[in-house]
Amino acid sequence: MTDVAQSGPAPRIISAVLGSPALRLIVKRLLTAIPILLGVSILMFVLLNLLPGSAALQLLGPQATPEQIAKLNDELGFNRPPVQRYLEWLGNFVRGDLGKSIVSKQPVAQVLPEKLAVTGELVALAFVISLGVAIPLALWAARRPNKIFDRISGLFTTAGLSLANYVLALLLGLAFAVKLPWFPSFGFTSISKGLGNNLYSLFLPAVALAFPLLCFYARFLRSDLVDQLQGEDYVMTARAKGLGPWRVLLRHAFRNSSFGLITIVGLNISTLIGATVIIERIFALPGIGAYLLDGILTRDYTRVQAIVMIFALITVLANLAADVLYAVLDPRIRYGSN
Amino acid sequence: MSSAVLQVEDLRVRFDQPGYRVHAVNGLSYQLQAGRTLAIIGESGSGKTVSSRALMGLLPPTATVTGSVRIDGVELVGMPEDEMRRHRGTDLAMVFQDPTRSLNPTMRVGTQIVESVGAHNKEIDSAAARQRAMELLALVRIPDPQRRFYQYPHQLSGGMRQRVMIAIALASDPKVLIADEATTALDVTTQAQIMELLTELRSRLGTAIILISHDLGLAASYADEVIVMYAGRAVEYAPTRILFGQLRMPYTRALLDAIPRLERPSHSPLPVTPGQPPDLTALPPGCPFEPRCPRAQPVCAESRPPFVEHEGGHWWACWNPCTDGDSV
Amino acid sequence: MAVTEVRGSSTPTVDDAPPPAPAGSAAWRRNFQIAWPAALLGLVLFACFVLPFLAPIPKPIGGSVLNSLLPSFSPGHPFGTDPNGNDILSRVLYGGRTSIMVALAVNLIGLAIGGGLGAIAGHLGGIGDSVIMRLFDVLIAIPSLALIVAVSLSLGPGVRNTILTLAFFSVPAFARIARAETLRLREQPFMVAAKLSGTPMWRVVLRHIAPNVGPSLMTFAMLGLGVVMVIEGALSFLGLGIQRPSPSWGNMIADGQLSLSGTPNLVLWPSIALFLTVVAFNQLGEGLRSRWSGGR
Repeated sequence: MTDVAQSGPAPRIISAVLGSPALRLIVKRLLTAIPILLGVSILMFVLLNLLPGSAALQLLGPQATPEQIAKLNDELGFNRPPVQRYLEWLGNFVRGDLGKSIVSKQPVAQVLPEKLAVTGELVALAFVISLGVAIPLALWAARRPNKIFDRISGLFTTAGLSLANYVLALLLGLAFAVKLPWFPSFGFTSISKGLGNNLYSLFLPAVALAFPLLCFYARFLRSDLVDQLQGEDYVMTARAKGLGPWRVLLRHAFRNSSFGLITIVGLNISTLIGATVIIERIFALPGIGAYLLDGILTRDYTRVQAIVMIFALITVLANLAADVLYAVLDPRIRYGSN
Repeated sequence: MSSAVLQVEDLRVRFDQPGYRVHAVNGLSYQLQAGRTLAIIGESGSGKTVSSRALMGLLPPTATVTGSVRIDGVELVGMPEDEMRRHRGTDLAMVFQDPTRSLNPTMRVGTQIVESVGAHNKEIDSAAARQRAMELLALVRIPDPQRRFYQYPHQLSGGMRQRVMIAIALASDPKVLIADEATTALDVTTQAQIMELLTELRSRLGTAIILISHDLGLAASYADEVIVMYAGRAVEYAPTRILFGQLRMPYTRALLDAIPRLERPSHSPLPVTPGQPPDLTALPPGCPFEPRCPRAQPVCAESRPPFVEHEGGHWWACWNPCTDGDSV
Repeated sequence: MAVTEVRGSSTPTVDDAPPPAPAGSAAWRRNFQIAWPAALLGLVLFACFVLPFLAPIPKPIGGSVLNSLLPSFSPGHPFGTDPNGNDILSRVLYGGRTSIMVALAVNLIGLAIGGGLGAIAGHLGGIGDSVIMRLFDVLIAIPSLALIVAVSLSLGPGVRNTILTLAFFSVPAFARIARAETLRLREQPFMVAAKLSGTPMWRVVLRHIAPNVGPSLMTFAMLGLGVVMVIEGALSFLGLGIQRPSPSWGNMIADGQLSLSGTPNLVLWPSIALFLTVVAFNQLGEGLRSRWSGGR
């Protein structure tokens, strides 16, 4: 086994990615991400700074005297031209200085890592739960379309899609924290007190977050699998080989459906992060969503601006990662087409 | 006379949809000897593809298959799916029309052949399965099998993909290979190469071949016997030489006339059979071809002509067959 | 000598049965798919918009504290009362009115602006298309709830601002769909004909694109109504949407949250109302989608 061609797939993937269509795609997508992020920053700046209702007025309340307002505006630097302020803000942001919270005077960048860690863990757990349940559910349903299991899971996921996650969060809390005291109804246990305790404290919020996604993934995957099983010729080839139904389903239909699923999962990061705002509040988790909501309720513009930018950054990067993963996994893109 | 490897008797397939029923195959019978090629010819909707999928048990759940399909004496019709699966690949294998769509685009071609090798040979280890897959690639005359093994379908040409499909089909030494329009999607040169390959493999491996096509020319060149199907029934059958020596069915005649020919004066219009194949949800009482037939007579609309052997080895179903003078 | 033997069917085919199954069961099922959510939606709309005029239902605000926190199924208060003595049924109905009107307004704005811009972008192609769609990419890059929350901070709470905020977020989705459909249409012969005959753009968009893009946009709007109802609830839940004492399902759920274990009816009734309404919108959207795609 000295020949590269004989030594199997691994070296070929590496050599193919370097200088391949996939790499070009990644670079191209990275380049388009930059104007989008700039656009987001400008939009947020305009929304938060230039719309009626000045920050100072909001902060001081309606009883504030014009002198107080002028003084605060001066302190916050709101008197300088907007373009200059934006460029300053952008320059600081790129260097990692996210500004100081107007309310607590604390640098936002300082508290961000621990908040991001909590939210990151919550989101990751939600993805694991949603995919971990949705994939087996969809496979089982697609195995015998329109039979009893498929019908029941279809009904269940349809209903689940219409259930608001905050309602679900409250119901879960009522059922599994109050009536049956199995889980804590709120609060967060740090990972330093053990991974088990940590995951335990995140379980209910993660389920509330995961449930609508779970239903969505299960429905998407089930219908894609059924389409493949009924419409694709290579599925017919696989059956004609004499392969068993599960093998056809897993190695052929699911393998190809999983590419679509990756894209969907990448797009959902944005929805999921948005939803943490409300779920973290209900379960009193010290994550970035709750931190953002706090900033909004206290009119802390610097904080809101910084966090929305971070959210956008994560969203764009997640979509990029999904694209790249897709390109690396799908051989038609990895090797280009003839 | 040696015994047939495949015996099909009174095969019927219907599709039940809410409110209507499609009679796709209505009593098809034939036998096939090892190492022989049978061509089944017809327009789309004639039942040729449906009948071959029925042999494989690959029809959707809406289909009902009756009659008898025996392979080496084993009855396949009505066999439970789990058991049927064991006969796919080993007894019957199939090559489909479009090699671009019938190979999994996200799987290396080698893996797809290995999978076929392993489907009926659970004990084989992966090195041996790979060895066998390489051999199969060489068998179907794919140059440089060591390299091709690791490639994906989109990196191969159409003809090469169809060779891979044939390798997959041959992995478990099937007794009967069904080529369902296997060359239709290919260009003429590649088509000839694939047909030569199939013919060569047939004589080397002794596999019987069912050639499903709309192309009478293909049948004339490569088949030992030809069945012409119309509206789910056989309407003419004969050994190839006899059939093309003296066509009897006006329908077969029409199919043949629709092929462009060099000796025809240039720019003369091709004779086209007017009309559509009959509605399979409500077949007429008479000959199904009667509405389109240039030789139709009153009797044709009233009762269906029986499919019987009129001359030595030559069967047809027609009240008013073509005479020798009309034949090619 | 024939090696392969062919035999005709021994007996003439007896077509064994007339067409099976009650005719039109598929059509019935398709109608049912649209009929039940439509009926449910009709029921919700009737209850929210008509019932308060017909039945002796108290006002949603200004209740007496003497009647506070009555349990469900109390005489005169079938859903019970809240801590201020307001009738919960009445608050659910009036809150639904606000929620449904907000959702309708948001989707109408999204449909008009987003659908229009998307159709124009798809029709223009080239640079115009790129500019419009890149702008929407920017909006889509921001997690929707974070964007909505930030905009609502700028605009402040209240019904009008809630509508504006949510519309801001729904525009890009409509635009994407309208654009995709327009691109699909662009290659159609009648579009090419319109272009070649020099039909002005507004006329092409209005007379050719709109009627063809309409069905998928309407379907999406149905699904969008459900989404907007949920998000409006979330905003009100966070105190950024409909302001108290005006009832909305979101702020009712938020208010009831604090005493969830003691008086779950405060949360349950608006939650059930929200769920049923969203189910109706979603299923109606799904039903319409399968009908349109079946017809294509």
